[in-house]
Amino acid sequence: MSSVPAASELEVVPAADPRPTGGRLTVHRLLRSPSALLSASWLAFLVVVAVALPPFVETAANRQDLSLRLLPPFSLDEGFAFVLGADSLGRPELLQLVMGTRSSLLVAVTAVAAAAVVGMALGLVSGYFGGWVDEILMRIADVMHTIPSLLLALAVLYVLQPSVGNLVIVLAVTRVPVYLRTARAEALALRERVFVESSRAVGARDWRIIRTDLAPLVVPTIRTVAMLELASVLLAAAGLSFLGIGLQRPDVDWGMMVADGRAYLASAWWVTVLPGVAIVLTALAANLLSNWLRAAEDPAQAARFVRRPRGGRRAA
Amino acid sequence: MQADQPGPVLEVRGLRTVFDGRGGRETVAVDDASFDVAPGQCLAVVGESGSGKSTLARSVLRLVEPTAGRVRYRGTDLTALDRRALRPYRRHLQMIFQDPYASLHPRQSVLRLVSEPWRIHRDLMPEDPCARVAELLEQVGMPPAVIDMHPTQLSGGQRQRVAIARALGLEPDVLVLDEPVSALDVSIQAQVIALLMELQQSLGLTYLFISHDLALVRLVASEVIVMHHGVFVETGTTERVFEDPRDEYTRSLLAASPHL
Ligand SMILES: Nc1ncnc2c1ncn2[C@@H]1O[C@H](COP(=O)(O)OP(=O)(O)OP(=O)(O)O)[C@@H](O)[C@H]1O
Ligand SMILES: [Mg+2]
Repeated sequence: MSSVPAASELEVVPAADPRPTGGRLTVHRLLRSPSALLSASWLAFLVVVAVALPPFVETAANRQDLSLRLLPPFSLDEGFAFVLGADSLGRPELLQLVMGTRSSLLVAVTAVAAAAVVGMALGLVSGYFGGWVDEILMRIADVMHTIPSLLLALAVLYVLQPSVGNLVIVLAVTRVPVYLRTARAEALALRERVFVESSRAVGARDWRIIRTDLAPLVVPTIRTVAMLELASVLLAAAGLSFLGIGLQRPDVDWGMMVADGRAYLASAWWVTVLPGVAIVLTALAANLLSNWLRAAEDPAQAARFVRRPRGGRRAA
Repeated sequence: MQADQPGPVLEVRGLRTVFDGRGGRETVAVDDASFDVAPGQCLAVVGESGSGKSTLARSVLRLVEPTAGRVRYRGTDLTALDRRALRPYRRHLQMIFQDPYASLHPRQSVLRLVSEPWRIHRDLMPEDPCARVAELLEQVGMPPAVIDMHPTQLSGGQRQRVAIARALGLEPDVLVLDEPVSALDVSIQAQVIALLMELQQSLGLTYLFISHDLALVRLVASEVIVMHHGVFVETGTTERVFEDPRDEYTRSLLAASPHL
């Protein structure tokens, strides 16, 4: 044999897209699911509000004017800021909601992101190395599982200073086990794969294998779980703020607004109901979108989103 | 490569690998294996499924820790090194795995797959990694256009060529080939084997070739080890073992292989 036998001559490269669940297709499918599209739009709207508006409305949002106390909504007499009425100290409800959007999203997103990163790292280590590391981490996760996370958060925040930082830390810590278990389960399966052995054969050490071989394959699952967690963390943060151990004035979030308005529920419903609606809608949207994402990213279910049977069942 | 050094490249003595099974039951996958591999030689290990061929290969490379025995690579006792000290030696002994659908990371491009080992053995990092990868791809008969592709876009034969390029990038001395073509179409098998033979010639590689395809072994190997239940039942030159099998098990293996 004198020349290198070439592969290209006899084998055909399949030109098909290797990842049928790639980014473009997902967006394409999003347009076909009204509930997911609506959810995504609502969340995107909130993000824009939370990022763009607070610097401009912060002072106005916290300006108290007792003459406008519990001003009813849906009137432009006092200007657009008061279109949703005013709270018990005469602060414009709309601007308070804008400020609350920022805090609520910031707390929830930061807590979820922190929990996801830490939980994934611990889970990968736990699953990959096994042994006593795994043993200890799983015991801790088990213990945390048996204590209701809200109760734990309550206890910790009661002892510590209630502040944004502590709220985020407490919420994150209580949600870490969710990601730990997910990442661990995947790492347990992945570490047996041949490409891991192949990495070992070229001299990669354990940390490199965890980082470059395992992590990229675990991230999509973690991302889906994180989306799902967003709703429950948002609710937990609102609950803690409602109980007065979350944020403190002048910071405001939706949970705190609900709590503040509670006393006036009979006479001024909007002070409680509007932030309440914001919480419910956002949690619902995050939930719907994450459920949709999970199904859309699952190749087994992907066909459902590509060909949508309409108007009756198709012949199987 | 130190191909001019005298003595065997690999000296394996009394290698034994035991797996702990469930309920205290042990599997002796490799039992008291001893053999030498001379420079530039192709030594084949044959045996039925489950006879311990892969475990032997993995034990030699310490991808599983042998229970007992010694593996010497050009005089260095690999089994005596700790994991850290072993790492620099890994580049000299590379492995090609049976299933190219499983051995390449599904999320890495060909460029990444072939260049990844250089991030570990930094002294081998070329000035221009892209150019070097293209060169290696050419060496294994692949067009440079595949450099940005992912394994999912490649056929089995192409994947195995990428795996070979990845190993060659480390300028190894010994290639351990664990049934390198048995997962491929028959028509592709011949091409990949031809490539491996050609590479052995041009680069002076030493092969430990694991297979259950006796016809193939007869074609490529100079010496053969016949393995059965973890034990070497027969060792000899290819000609001798095929012409004059002494062990009962070897005879039954040869008899079961129709086209010899
Ligand atoms: N990681 C492991 N844990 C426990 N037992 C194992 C492990 N790997 C292999 N074995 C056992 O060791 C024995 C030898 O397996 P091995 O994979 O080395 O055989 P083989 O000759 O390569 O077979 P094949 O031709 O099917 O690849 C088998 O009984 C197998 O069940
Ligand atoms: Mg095998």
